Amino acid sequence: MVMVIDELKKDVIRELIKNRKRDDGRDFNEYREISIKTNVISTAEGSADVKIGKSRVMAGVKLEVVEPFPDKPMEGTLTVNADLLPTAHEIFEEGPPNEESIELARVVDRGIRAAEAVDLKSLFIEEGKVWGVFVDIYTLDHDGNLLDTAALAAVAALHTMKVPEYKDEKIIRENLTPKPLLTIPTQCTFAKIGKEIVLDPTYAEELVADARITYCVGDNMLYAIQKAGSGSFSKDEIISLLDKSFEQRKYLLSLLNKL
Amino acid sequence: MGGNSDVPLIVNGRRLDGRKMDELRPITIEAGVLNRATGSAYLTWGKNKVLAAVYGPREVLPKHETNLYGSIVRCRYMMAPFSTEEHGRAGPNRRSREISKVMREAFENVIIKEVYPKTAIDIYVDILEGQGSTRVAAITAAAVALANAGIPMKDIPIGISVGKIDNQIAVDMMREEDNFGQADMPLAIAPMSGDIILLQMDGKMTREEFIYALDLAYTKIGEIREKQINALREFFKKSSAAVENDNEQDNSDLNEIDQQVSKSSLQEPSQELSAENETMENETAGNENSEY
Amino acid sequence: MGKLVIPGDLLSNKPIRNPYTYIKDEKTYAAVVGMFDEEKSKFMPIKASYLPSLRDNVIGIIEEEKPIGYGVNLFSPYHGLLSSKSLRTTFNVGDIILAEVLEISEVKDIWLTKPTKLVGGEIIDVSPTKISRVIGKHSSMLNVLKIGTGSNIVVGKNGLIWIKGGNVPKAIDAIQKIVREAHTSGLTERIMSYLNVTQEMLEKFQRSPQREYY
Repeated sequence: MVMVIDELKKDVIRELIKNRKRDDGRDFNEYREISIKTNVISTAEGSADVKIGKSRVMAGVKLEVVEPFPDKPMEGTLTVNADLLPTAHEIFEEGPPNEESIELARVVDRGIRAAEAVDLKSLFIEEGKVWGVFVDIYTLDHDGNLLDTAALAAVAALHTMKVPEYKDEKIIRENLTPKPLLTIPTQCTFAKIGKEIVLDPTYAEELVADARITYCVGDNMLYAIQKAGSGSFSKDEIISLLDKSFEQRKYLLSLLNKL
Repeated sequence: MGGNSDVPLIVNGRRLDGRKMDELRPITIEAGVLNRATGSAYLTWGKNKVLAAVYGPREVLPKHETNLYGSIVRCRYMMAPFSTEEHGRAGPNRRSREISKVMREAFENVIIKEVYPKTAIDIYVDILEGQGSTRVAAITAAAVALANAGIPMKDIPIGISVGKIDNQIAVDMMREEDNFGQADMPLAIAPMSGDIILLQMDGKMTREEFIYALDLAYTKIGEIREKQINALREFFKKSSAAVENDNEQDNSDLNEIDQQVSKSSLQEPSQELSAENETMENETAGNENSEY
Repeated sequence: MGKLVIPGDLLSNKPIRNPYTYIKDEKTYAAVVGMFDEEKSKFMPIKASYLPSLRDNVIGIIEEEKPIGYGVNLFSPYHGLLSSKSLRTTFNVGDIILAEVLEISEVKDIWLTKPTKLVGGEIIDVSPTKISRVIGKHSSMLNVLKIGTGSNIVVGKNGLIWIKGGNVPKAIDAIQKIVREAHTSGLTERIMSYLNVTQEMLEKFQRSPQREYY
């Protein structure tokens, strides 16, 4: 098997992009092939295994009974964590979360939270007790755009989540009630290479990108943005990419609505 | 982003601190406030109190982080435990690490890294009192500290936040608006190009609201930039001023310096200046002195 | 004598190479805060770290003994190195030396040569961008300082200045004045007046051979 070394492809990619071409032949506004499998982990209350091209992320949702946050005593809680595993790429080291994994978790969390996608109000049990929704994002294979892969996995896992029964101070995980999301946020990530901007960058494309920007949107609504990298965007680019995110939403929703 | 609170954030067209939707809180900036750091700035923005220190260019430690062809930029944003209503834990946390990352990336855009290869430029920003939009205050302060340190840059970036409160778009979010508003968007802009070098958003905005918010941010960068320039100018005047117990002749020099600093038009250069100073064209010509 | 400029300010419509400026679309812009004299095309950064050039005279402290020689702290982002080959004297850690930049390696090690120990005296540190003012054209300013204070003064391009003998506090005071007013004109005259040095004294000093002593 021949392994192509992404680090050595930088000049090739830059040339291609300048000529408005991509390494895998995609259009600048096209996603790689996306596959979403849910309910893959029986010990989790919600789970999803998502692939975008060769990137792969698994998300698991666990529900526990917790104390509510003091300022929101009648609502369930949502916590999103991400681990960029050494499994996924040799650049990820063992140890405490690095800034990239912190950023990934916070960006995915932000979009879901701002959209108020999870019906937290319905997760109230009794005074001092609510359901805490814990989403853990496990990156398994890194070929670029872990952000969108993780977001899709988190959303898919949450959308197919089932809430256990809580009775007599005990969690009965055999009795489950589906709790689909109130609204489904969709997320798009773009990379800027030179003057060009591409959707869903591969790892090799990320290596030559000067900047990256992620949008999380709903129906005619913007929920979150995160720009990363030392490159810059003009105001017009920022607005045009928002519009592209709205366009892609239809496609991404069609995948999620099938679940 | 809390979303909804019982407290109205806008009453009679005015915000909780009396501001209109397009008004900034008062900003003060002082450059060169620290002795040890290469460059520094102390900034107040409303009730925010921010101290930025820059060290460098200096040797890179740990050595394995060295870049042979340019400087590396490192940035640490931190909120002091006494800076918030509730006592915070000292040390970095996930939020401060994310902010440090996006700040560093913004400065990596404007710092000209090729001038001092194999060095590190370290930016430390401490929020001593936090009252909403601390990260953009931090960027605004650190930008002045970097210029004060003589770090080569393309431009001096400006930080600013916009957001949505009670369904209206407003500029410069204070803490209550950060917590209870409907959307919050911090930005950093490089004023010469107008490019956006930091952008985050959290909340709910329609496309139209988003565009309006962006435009509103751009209208305010001139005000902030003026504060940055004044801070650098005041520092220059301070470091060029004669001491008070000098004789009369020196005081007249002070007037001359003052005029030079505030005049935007050029004065006639003296013969001596041209003879003694290196010109731009032969900046790195050989020694002028060869004997001691 | 010009105006204060900040990073991003336009200095010239032509491209000019200078470490403290940058070129974009064939135009030159300031990269650091400095004083810019448009007519003379002169840019004096207020503060910048030392960038070594060949044949610069620099002052540093022996920091380390190495197999190849000595490591020298130049109080700049880059380190000085002194090869023990062809050295007639040995040095100790802590010695202050004056040396010349022989070679700048690809990895920015500053190889030094012709080291001289500077014994006693006091060292002050100014921004390297002000050093040429302290020296002056044909060392005129430096000579004024020496005459006016009776001190021996050695100036390193890396911003370090060594002063010994004579009236050291007066020398430091005068140098600080030069640094503060570096961007102004008529500075040499003012310093001459400040130190009671006449034109005659200066000319006499410049005519007589300078005896080097450290």
